[in-house]
Amino acid sequence: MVKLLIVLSIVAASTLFAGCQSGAMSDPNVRNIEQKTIVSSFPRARLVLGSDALLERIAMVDARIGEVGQLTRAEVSIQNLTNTKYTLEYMYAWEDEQGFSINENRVWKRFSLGPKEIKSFKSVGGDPNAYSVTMTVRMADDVFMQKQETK
Amino acid sequence: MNKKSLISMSILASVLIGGCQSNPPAKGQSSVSVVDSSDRAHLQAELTMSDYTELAEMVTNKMLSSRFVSSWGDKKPRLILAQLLNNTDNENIRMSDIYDRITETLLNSGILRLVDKSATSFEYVVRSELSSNRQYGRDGEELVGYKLELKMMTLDGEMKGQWSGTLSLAKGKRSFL
Repeated sequence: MVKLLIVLSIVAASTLFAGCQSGAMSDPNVRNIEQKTIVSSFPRARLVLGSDALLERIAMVDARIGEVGQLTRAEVSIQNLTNTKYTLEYMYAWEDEQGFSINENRVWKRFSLGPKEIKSFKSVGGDPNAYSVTMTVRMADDVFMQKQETK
Repeated sequence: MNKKSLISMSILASVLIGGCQSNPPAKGQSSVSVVDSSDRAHLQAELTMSDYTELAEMVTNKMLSSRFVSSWGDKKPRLILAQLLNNTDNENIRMSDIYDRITETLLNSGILRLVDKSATSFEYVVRSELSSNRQYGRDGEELVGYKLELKMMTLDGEMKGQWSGTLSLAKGKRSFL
């Protein structure tokens, strides 16, 4: 009985330890308040949906980060889960390993996503120090545009 | 009674006037506001500063992430960025702004050295060109496509790479009202 208890406690301890290790995998450079519209599960990448209305309609399904020469590049795939065509905008924001912003000349890039369509969007961190990336997707919007229904 | 109502009306009027005086209309208030420079607002089917940024960065980053440029490693070759050609139907496009965006992106990458056109020692020349095409509809609709292209050549004139990016602008029907 005592042996069984010891074995059980070892198994429990090892499980807990493994759990701690997987928790440590999350990147300390990706900082945000936890919410449904933000996905931080990909290493060095944070995916932000710009509206609650896009939840369960537009999905950021995959993020890949790799090296190309001395630069870092990222690619995120976005899927339209609905039967409606969406006109959206995305923006990439790069940070260095310490979390400081790189390249402030950011602009929203417009794209449309047909029913059930998946598209991938690439970005190159135009600086050798680029380390992590935040990609935000929102409804297309500008000062002269009639606001789209968000709720 | 009449006197009382006159007095009360005059008090009410003075209070109202006083109220107006304490909240004067904002004279000279402008209808212009600062907008986020990352927004893609357009009043015409022409390029804006945000479009210059997008086009220049898109094409330059394509070049920087190409297999050929990646093969440079730490060599940092010397490169001349030739004058950007305006092959569009609009002479008012600020080509120098697009040129500056390209040089900024190239320099920030840290993987090459930019030298002046007068330099005698360099490895590559990058030629660039902006072109456009335009279509008009019956009711004032307009569709414009812009293309920015970079071509990298060696001293011998061998083309090592070509990269391009496009941007389309559409203008809707003219309103009757």
